[in-house]
Amino acid sequence: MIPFIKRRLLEEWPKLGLGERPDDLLFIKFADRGIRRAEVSIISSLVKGKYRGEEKPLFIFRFPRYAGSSEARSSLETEFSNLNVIHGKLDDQTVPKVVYWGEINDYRVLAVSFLPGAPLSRQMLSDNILRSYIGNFGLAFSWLVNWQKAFGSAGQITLAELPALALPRWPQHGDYHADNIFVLEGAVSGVIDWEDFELAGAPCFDLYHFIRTYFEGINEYFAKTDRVEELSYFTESREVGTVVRATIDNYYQLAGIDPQAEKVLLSRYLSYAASLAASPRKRAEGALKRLNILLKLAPSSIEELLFYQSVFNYGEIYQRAKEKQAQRLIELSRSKISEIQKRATEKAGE
Amino acid sequence: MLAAAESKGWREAMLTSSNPKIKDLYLFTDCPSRADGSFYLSLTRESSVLDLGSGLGSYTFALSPRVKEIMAADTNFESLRFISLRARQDGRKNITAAQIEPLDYGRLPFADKSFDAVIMNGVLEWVGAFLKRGDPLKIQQKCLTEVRRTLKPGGEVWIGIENRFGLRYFMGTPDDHLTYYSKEKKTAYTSLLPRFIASWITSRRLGRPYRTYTHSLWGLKRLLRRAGFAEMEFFFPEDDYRSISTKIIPLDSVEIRKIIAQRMPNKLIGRVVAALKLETALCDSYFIVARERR
Repeated sequence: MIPFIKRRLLEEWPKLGLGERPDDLLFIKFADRGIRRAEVSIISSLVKGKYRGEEKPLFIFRFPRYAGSSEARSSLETEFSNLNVIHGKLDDQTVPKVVYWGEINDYRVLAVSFLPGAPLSRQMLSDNILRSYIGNFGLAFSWLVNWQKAFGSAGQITLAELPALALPRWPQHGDYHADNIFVLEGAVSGVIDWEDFELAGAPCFDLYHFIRTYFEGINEYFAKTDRVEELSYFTESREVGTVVRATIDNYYQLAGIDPQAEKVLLSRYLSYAASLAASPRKRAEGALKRLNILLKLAPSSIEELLFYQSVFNYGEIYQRAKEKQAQRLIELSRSKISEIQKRATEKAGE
Repeated sequence: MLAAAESKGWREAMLTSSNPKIKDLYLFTDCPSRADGSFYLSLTRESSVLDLGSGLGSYTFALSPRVKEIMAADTNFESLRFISLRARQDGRKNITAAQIEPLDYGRLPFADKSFDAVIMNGVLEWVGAFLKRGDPLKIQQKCLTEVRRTLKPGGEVWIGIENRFGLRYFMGTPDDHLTYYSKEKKTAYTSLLPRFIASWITSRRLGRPYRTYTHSLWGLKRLLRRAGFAEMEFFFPEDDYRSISTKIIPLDSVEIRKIIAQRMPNKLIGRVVAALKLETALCDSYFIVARERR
């Protein structure tokens, strides 16, 4: 397939608007980030141009693993249309632009401009995780607030008017997490993966999604290395909680959101995220299962959401400890799970 | 396992097997991303493909929806039965399974110019290990010449193989192919040594001569040229050519320099390798697309 794509792109090069035609194109195929069902999979490659021996990144090329896959096709069509909507409203250099859109050998193909930088997720696990967390939150939040404002968010949101806001117009990336945010020289240089974009999304969806998935990443790191104490510190300590609260309140202030609306907005976020995970385009069964559990636990604040969420990681440690018959770890992780269960039960009783 | 696959379906049989090895194999068997490198081949919906040494069919099933017909060929009758069963259960009508004799004999039961592509993923290095006599290098060359015979004009062979001089072998990783003979007696550095010394070591340690030949970058080019493949493209699977999903980088990309530099055991060696531009020769494994001529 790639040789045909290469030939077609070089034939149609002037239409791409990318300047001088390269001597050759190099396709660097990315690894799948998460192995999902084959029917929804899309092959993504970074395409570099060769110019007299020099190499220059040009664009990201995407096509379905199977030409006949309606889910993958629809995913590419959605991304194409979303990027056009975004660039129709805003000339934003941090959002990829469509470079090529068409069919090659029955395959629906999409090329989007290359954005420089490295994923923010690479900066998550530094020597001082809390400090890098503060820095990363600052970067992600300032981009989000500026983008939402430039796009025309709904303005002030107060708790009192929330029930009336059945469909608040609030631009939403839809999958705003550290892997999709690119950073270069201390600033956000790009945000990718726009297939879940909504023009009229839910307020704070991106904020909560970023925080939840960011902690999911840290938690997974601790869980894989059986570090129960660190996991517990990051999901329930006062020190981390204070930092999280300060960054969220800062966002609320900048975005004009009443902090008291958090409980309602959080519940909307979880149900919206669950419906996205269940969509035929995603079929993210693992994520859906977890989101449904979190929905049932009905967290009233971000801190509580992060605390409940850690139960999955303690569970992972517990399972592995049981296989290895590591008694201390079994007890530690079991006690943390019981603690979370107890708190959830008490809350349900209230 | 085959009986269970027949009664409750192959996927269920693998996932619920009491044998942990079969459970572990499931992901490798049912993961089409393993065969994503084949997108570097010029395949269309009209293509005929031969998956040589098909194992449990990870390439066969990944390629089946993309081509007209695919022939899974292996010496192992049980794995071919599994492929046939799975093809029937999954409704894949374009898959045919054929038992072949070991590739060491250099004979394939297919007519000249039958296929648009031949897949040899993790296969070439085993060619020569079945026969106890003869130079494995010559046996491999004969096998590749035979593969070329079955290719249509412009047809391509896809090879996934370890690099004899992969960086990890210099750092003490045991020879992957020798662990097949003995999991307990791990043997390192053999691929780096002259073949006769490697053979002396394996004869003493494992009671068998060294016949699972992998090759250097230059060695692979020479071997393919001698088998009649004039055009070749090499790729570096960043993780491993056998992995479930790997980043794949054309060998003439500068990206490889950065990756190999990060894997260097120390800065001095890194500087020497960079100065001599040896990074591409140290990739742990390669994917190769080779053709007679375009």
